[in-house]
Amino acid sequence: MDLLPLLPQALADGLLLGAVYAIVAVGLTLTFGVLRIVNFAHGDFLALGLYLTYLGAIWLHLDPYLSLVLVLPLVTLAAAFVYRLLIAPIILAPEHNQIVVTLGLSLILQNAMLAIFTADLHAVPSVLSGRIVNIGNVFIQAAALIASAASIAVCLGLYWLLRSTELGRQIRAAAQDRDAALMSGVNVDRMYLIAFCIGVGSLGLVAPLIAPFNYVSPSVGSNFTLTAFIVVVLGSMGNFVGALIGGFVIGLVEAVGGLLTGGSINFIITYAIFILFLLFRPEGLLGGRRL
Amino acid sequence: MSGPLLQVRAVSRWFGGLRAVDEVSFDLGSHEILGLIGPNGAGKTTLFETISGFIRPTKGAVTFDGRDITGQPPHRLARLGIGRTFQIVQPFREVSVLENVIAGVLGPNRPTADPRVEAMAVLTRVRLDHRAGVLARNLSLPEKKRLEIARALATRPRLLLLDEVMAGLTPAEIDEIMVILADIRREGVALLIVEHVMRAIMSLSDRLVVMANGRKIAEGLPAIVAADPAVIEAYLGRRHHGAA
Amino acid sequence: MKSMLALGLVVALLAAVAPFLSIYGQHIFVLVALYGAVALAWNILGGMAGQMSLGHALFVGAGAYLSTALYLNLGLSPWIGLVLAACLGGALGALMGYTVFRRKLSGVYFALVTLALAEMTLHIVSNVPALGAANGLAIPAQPSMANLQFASKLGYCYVALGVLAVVAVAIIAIHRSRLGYVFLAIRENERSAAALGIDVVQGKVIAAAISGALAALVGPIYANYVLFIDPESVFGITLSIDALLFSFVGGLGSLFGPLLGTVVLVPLTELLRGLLAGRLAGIHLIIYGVILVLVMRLAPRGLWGLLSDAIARRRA
Repeated sequence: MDLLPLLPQALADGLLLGAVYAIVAVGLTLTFGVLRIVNFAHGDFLALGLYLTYLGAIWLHLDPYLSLVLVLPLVTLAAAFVYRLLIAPIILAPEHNQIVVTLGLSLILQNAMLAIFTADLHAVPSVLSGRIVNIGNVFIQAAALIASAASIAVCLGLYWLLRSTELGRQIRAAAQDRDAALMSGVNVDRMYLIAFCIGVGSLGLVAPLIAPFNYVSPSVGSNFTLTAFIVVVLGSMGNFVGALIGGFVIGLVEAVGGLLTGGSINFIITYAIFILFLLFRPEGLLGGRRL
Repeated sequence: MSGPLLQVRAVSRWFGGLRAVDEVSFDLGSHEILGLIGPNGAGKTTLFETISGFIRPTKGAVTFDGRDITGQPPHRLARLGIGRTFQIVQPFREVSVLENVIAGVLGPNRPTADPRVEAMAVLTRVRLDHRAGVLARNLSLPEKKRLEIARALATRPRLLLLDEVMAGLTPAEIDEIMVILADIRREGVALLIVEHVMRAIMSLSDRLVVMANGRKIAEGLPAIVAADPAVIEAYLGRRHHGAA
Repeated sequence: MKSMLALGLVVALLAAVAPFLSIYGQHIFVLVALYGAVALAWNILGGMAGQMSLGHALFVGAGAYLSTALYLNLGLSPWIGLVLAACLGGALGALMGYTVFRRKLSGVYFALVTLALAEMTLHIVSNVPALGAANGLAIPAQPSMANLQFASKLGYCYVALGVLAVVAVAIIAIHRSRLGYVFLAIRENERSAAALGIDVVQGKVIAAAISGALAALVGPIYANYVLFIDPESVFGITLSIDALLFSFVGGLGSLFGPLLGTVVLVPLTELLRGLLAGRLAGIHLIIYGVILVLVMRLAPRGLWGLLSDAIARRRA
């Protein structure tokens, strides 16, 4: 069976999938890579955003690209609430506290959505649903293309934010050396809160963007959470451009792997890459700060 | 006992361009108390970490009882007879004082007849036996310091490295520790002490080694070292006269 | 020897009570014993040695599939399968421990590696036709002692109790030996542990091996009780999280806290499932999540910690 003619489509699919992984993971790059907050409920905020987008469609008849205006602030608000209630009190406690608390949060969020919406898959109607763009003999969903562009923009945007703005400088200072930052007048608590809200709130942007080409289900979250951690490690902790590259790598591996082998082998490859990187190259593709 | 117990030979440790320890050499005899002093940033802690196996030296060699121990991991050094305490005392908080010391007795994986009995004996040596059943996190600071010493003693070391064990103690508490350390030496354990509390290290030590900027700048009897102009300039100076 | 005697008494008591339970009661008995064994095994690595694994289902699933595959293909008695399962679990634990801990990976990175390993294994097994792929393996019902199958639930009660007892004996033996202190020191402070002569990496590897071997024992028992295994049920993350959850709620630092957590939460879950009759799917998981968060924030030493504090206060 000659797979070669199918390769360009797989590559395109891989890049688009990778862009989605990247934009989901980039928020985790900020919260985990920079702030070292372990949040196992990261993907569940995405699911939350997807369900809000879905509700926006069936209650208010809003296209996802419009309900974005509502979903983004709502998810950010949820992030702020969770940070204040659950994370801030244990920010200085041993790491396993955060693991356990966010696991608990993940259980609550996922199963609350399961209880309310059932396990049925839902599709969110959009003006761009099913709209395909044709490049040569490669077919790309228009909505996926927009999401990819947004992904690049968000990654570069966060990179710029952390590198070149005063806010970013303060966030980095707070994350790198808490005591030194406190002494030079940085409001460490507020910086953590803001950064967490940006990182998790970004999922409120991602959800409406991917709703036109992604089913909504309660388990969307856990699928994305682990992949997000993989992308963050692969792309080197705290590196936003790395998140983009890492996302593309994983996306391509999964798409091309799926083409070559069929079945769920692609997940196996992703996990294997992850384990190998953690064992042999924990500083990720781009090097820099070690774990 | 032929030859010194510990031989530090031209040990250097660089961090990138920074020479934290630069070609430091000295000997320590098997019944000696050697004091290691110097201003902050002199490299004493880094040298300590190198001797106790937590950091590899970039250059140089460390010999213990005739065998080369350069770069050996800490647990192997402990089994050879080198014990150490840590500057920031960290007892095993959630268990009792006795359990902490039993961990020290069992750590080096030596055969013991009765760990509890042995641990109680060690606690008696540091005057902590009356607190044997107390949870470590409920101890006062001086008690935690003595527990730190007890735990290290439990490993039956021939050389004990003490990292600023007097820091944060009142004069009376310092006197207590000094008595304990003198007892320990009498029982045949050599001591290498890093300390900032001048009167303690001056009266305890048989000899001093002075470090500044990573290098050894003086070595010898405390009285002689104290009068060395290079040392005074680097460190002691006015501080010695009023030091506690 | 006092603890061993106490254990013996408890086991004898439970064994005596089992025949008088209803069928449903015996079912709960089996579940509590099996989940309790997994949680106690998890706790050896997670609570005693301080290394939190998020993929312990790997060991349970490995044990279950090994025993079942050998039984279905070679007719090998699951009793032998049990022993082999423990060996496989121990080997997997040692291998995982050796590769991971030597690289100084701990904390969240260790948790992520274990999670990835379990998920990866789930997907691998789902794609191996010889192991039933995603559809799993069914065991034909042929009750006999040699097949580790029983006509009534009572037999399973005793076998499950037996596995639980084995795990408990292991824990008591560790606790009173040098190994117990090695784990304690590693959990509390690795640097101090090293300075006391403890080989920290070796200690962690041993903890992982023992923990894996004991968790793997549960696999064959579960397989022969339900007479069906599939990747999701024995390798799934739900099982891994359960082990962690029961240990935390029961009391991470204690020896038998995880069993206490299991005794409380498993019947609670079954009760909820019964009450809601599957109407609101996942409600019990929401409650798990809430309990987990509450315990972490308000009672970090779990139920066991609360109990011992209450007893200490009563004495004072």
